Amino acid sequence: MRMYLLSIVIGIVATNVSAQELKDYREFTLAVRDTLTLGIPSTMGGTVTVEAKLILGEPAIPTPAVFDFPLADESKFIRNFVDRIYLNDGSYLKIQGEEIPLTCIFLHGQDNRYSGKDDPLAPDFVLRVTIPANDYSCVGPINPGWPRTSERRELWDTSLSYVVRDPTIMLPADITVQYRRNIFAAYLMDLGN
Amino acid sequence: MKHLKLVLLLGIMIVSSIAKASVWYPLPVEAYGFGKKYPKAQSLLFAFDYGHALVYERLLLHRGRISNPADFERKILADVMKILQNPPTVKVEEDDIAPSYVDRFPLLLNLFDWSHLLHQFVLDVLATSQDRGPGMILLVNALTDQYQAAKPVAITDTCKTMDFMDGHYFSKAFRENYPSFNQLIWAYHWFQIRLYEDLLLPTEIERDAAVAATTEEFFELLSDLPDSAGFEMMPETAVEAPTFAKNFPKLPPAFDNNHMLHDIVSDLLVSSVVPFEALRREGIRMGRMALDPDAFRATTCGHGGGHGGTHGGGAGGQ
Repeated sequence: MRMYLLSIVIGIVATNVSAQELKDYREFTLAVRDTLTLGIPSTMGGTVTVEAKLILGEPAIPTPAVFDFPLADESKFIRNFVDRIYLNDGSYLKIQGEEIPLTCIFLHGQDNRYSGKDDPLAPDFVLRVTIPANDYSCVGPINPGWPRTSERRELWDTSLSYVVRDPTIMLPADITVQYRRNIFAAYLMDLGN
Repeated sequence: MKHLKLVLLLGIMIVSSIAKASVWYPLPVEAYGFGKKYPKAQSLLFAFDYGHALVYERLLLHRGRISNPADFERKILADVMKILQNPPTVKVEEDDIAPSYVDRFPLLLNLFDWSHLLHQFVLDVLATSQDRGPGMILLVNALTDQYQAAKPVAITDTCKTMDFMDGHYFSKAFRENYPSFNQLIWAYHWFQIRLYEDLLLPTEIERDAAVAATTEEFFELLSDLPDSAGFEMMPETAVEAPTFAKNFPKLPPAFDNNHMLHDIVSDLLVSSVVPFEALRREGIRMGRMALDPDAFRATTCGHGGGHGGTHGGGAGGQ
């Protein structure tokens, strides 16, 4: 019932979203890389290697939620979409030999095609991918009950985050690994396999 | 108009993000009303969270290096008693007390958090509802439905056999090695269950007296552990709170399954046959069983293993 009402509200506000676009946005989430090997340069010397493996599960929401950010020119807007898909058991972030369960994909996408952009370097889509560990309900990133129910604004304590500027190759960039609330910059290691 | 639209849009983003939330948002209007009416009992519930977390963390940090369990138990019990005598007035976050435990048992933590919110809000409704009949039942049933709607973290309300708790290769390690801790945790659970029964008494005067008596009785149970508590088996909701079980038949199995899962964690933490490296995996496996209505499904509800101590059973005994 709640999701039904939500769909109605979305329909009123984002009237121009087609079923095909919703499908495309969901496809972005489904296309997130399912294995990653990351390096974290350490001031202690050497590089810490982190591995991620994702096994896709059921969507947490029926379709991506879509909302438009209006620009000064009322005919133009930046479209945003949010999607959540659960990950199945066996998904993990491997740190120091420990397999920490990754539990869902949270994708916040920005669709620039309606913004009137004329810079060829500006991407059509920017996808901000966050893959949290340990949150089986996939609620975050912000604790909606904060500050009344918790002193912590951020719900997730361990996660993998990155940005994708081109969905055709889904290359992760600006990668960070959050481990028990500490955040580390990481890079993609191409091991050639 | 633009601003209004933006606010609306951001609102949608938030709503969509919590549709499957295990963070209960927005909170029910009755939330924490129990504590306004019964601050001492509410503080004890907060203290239980603290006590559970403290015991779990210390067992984990000292795992495999406890040469004298009786001495270890005595020292932690002394610390827990201090907390119970001077309990917190706000809910504590487990990762502030037990970061290692929180890191090691993520699924179980999610399940406990979600379940404990239901426990709390049911108490809140029973303590504050002006309607003592169908209206109150509707409110509790609505909470139950909301709880069960979050499928990834809702412990099943299907009755399970005691083998769910005691039928694993590591079972009973906790109660065999730490009998006082075990009685303490069962006393926590007894207290929670009995409050539900107390709050179903017909008049406010009776309810207030029953909550006060249960609180007093709880401390009697702890007066000389393990003998003072004397639980032969985990207290069961339908046995200790029969009126509650009759009015809300979906809740006793869900609560008992939660309590059994607590015992499972305790066993995992102290068992010598579970390697440290296997704890996270076994925790997830046990959590999946708690979610699965078919795992250890009982043919009939009620195990008949009620408390055989001196403090009676159910509000009718008061």
